[in-house]
Amino acid sequence: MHKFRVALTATAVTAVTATAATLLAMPAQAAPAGANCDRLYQQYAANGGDGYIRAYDGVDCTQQIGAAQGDDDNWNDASGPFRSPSNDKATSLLNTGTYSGGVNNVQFWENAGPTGHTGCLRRGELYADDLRDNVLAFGASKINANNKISSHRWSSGCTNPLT
Amino acid sequence: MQHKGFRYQVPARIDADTDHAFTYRLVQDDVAWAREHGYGEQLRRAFFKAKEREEIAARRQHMTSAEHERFTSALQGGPDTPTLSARLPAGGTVRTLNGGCTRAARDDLYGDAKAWFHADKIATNLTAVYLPKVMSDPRFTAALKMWSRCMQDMTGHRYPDPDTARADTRQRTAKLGAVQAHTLEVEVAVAEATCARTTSLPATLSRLDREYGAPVREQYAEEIAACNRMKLAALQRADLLEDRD
Repeated sequence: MHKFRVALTATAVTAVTATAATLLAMPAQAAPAGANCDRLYQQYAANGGDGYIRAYDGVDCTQQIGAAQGDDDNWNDASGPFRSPSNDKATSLLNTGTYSGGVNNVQFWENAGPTGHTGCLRRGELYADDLRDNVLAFGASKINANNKISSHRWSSGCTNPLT
Repeated sequence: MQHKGFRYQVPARIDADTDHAFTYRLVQDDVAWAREHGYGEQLRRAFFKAKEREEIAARRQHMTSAEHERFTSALQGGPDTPTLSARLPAGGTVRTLNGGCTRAARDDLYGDAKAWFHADKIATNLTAVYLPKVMSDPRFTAALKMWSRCMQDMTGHRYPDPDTARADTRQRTAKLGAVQAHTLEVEVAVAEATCARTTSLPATLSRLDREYGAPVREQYAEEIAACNRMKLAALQRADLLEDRD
């Protein structure tokens, strides 16, 4: 099952990379409804949020790989809320942070540090149910966001929103 | 929320220094701030500690699951709450729940929640449209190279950009005690800001932002104006509501 999903992902990555420019210019096309993300969002965002950012190995918020109320500059080590082997695995994300005085968006990064390409999930803007439809950006360079995230930091701003 | 029988307190906004510590910048150029706070790691840690305390306190206020459900549906709407969606200028569509008292408050403050969400998402996400051009402009890459050379002179380390300097500093401070860690963090942050000033990296960024940003802001002038108009009206409306209460 896992192998099958990986193979599927690889095909999708190639397809998306080849058409990145076209994709960006395409008219608004809502991602297929993330029914499971929706259900979890309702549950965790209740009461103004539970304060967590969550990441999942599968699409539609399945197979949780970690949950954090704080930062984690390295998902590939043995400390912090995200630990090896959660590095380069995230395929969906859910932000149910609290208002926290305005620090409630989460910036994700390609590398530990954090450095490299980046993308963000804003509080109140639900979830990213399939990162294969998203890019991480660094200046003019863009990469597909799937299976690339290696660190995260909470932020008051939001660079390159993931959807 | 009061009309529906709930107490809802509007949480306070974080202070200016904490906000600074949680704001990402391509390059930091405030030498005085860096001298006091480094990259703001201590402020970030203090913030997370306070957040944890608040969440523990919140959990103590037990609510039955039925109460929970009623509170949530009053605040943001139930399971079938409609969403607002807006297409971002650099691609992608963001959505937000629009129900319960949140929706009522938005309509009350902005007049039209849907129009506000659309205008706000466009007006606040324009940088992504032209940042690629800024960062590949030779004037930017030349200024960045000068900054990098200055950093090598000041710190003895080769950092191609500020992100790398910050990441390396975090890694080195992780093995140190709190005082030593802060000292090292301040040293690199002060160098980053000093080198930014001497190599005019921030001035170059501002110039390129004007150059590449102006046509984009022109293109979306209508949304920017609408966003500013609705925000201003919302602030005035909020003042009135506060006086009334």
